[in-house]
Amino acid sequence: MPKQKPELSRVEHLATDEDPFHYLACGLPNVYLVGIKYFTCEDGRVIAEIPAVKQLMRLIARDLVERPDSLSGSEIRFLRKRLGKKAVDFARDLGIEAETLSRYENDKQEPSESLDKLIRLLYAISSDDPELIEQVRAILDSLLAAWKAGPTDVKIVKKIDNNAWTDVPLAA
Amino acid sequence: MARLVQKELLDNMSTAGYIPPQLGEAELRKLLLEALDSAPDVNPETYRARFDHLERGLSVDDVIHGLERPWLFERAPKFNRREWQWKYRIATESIEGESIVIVVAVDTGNRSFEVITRWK
Repeated sequence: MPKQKPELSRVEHLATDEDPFHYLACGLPNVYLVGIKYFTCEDGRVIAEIPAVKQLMRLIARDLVERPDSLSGSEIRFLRKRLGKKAVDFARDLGIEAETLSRYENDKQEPSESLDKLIRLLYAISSDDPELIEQVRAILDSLLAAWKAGPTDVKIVKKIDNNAWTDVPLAA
Repeated sequence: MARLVQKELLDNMSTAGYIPPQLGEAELRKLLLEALDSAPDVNPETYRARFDHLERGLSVDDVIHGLERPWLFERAPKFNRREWQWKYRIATESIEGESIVIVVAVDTGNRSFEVITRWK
């Protein structure tokens, strides 16, 4: 009689609106997912099943670009990595030194308002998100006008719904 | 040669159960890229991508980048009898151009694979 495949000791969970999955692996500290399965293992590992991960990452980036709050260091790094750019190349695109970009990405220094807006526009026109280009074109005036300095504690929540990632409206 | 193939077949169907055939680089690449792009319920061929531990300093975008760029097996795939999965070690690069290894464990039965990253 064939041996059965040994069961791995892990517990399956479903991320819900009440108990969303904290998606730190995306590189941002404030992203939460709803509707996905994840597994907690005896050795403490947490394994998340992420469908259509590229679509999800695009949606998160779109949130950052459209949000009026100034970009944090991890958000700048997130947008750079979304573009698949090395730090040195991204710094060159922005016309700054790589060391300066490093200080921004590590929250040692805040970029100016104009540089913040340039990063968003650079992402919007260079990304693989065709919808974003159209949206940015439509909201360009408000995007450039609405920027406000200072850190934000806004949570980004995405839900997998009918096989597509969607935004979860947050309570005011 | 025929005898060798027959021996492998017998080994694979021995008391330990059926061992699924290993994937070549092109087959694995197709499986991985499909899973990164779409949801399994949309395309039934798509495997479910499960993300395990990422090394410090790496993010999901480094994994996407590492799997989309040209890569090679770091070593020959190995069948893990305890977990009943083929494990593939993919030698590739992070976005910053650092050498990394992405370990992909494919579970054919559940149509899923797990991804773990390692610095090289």
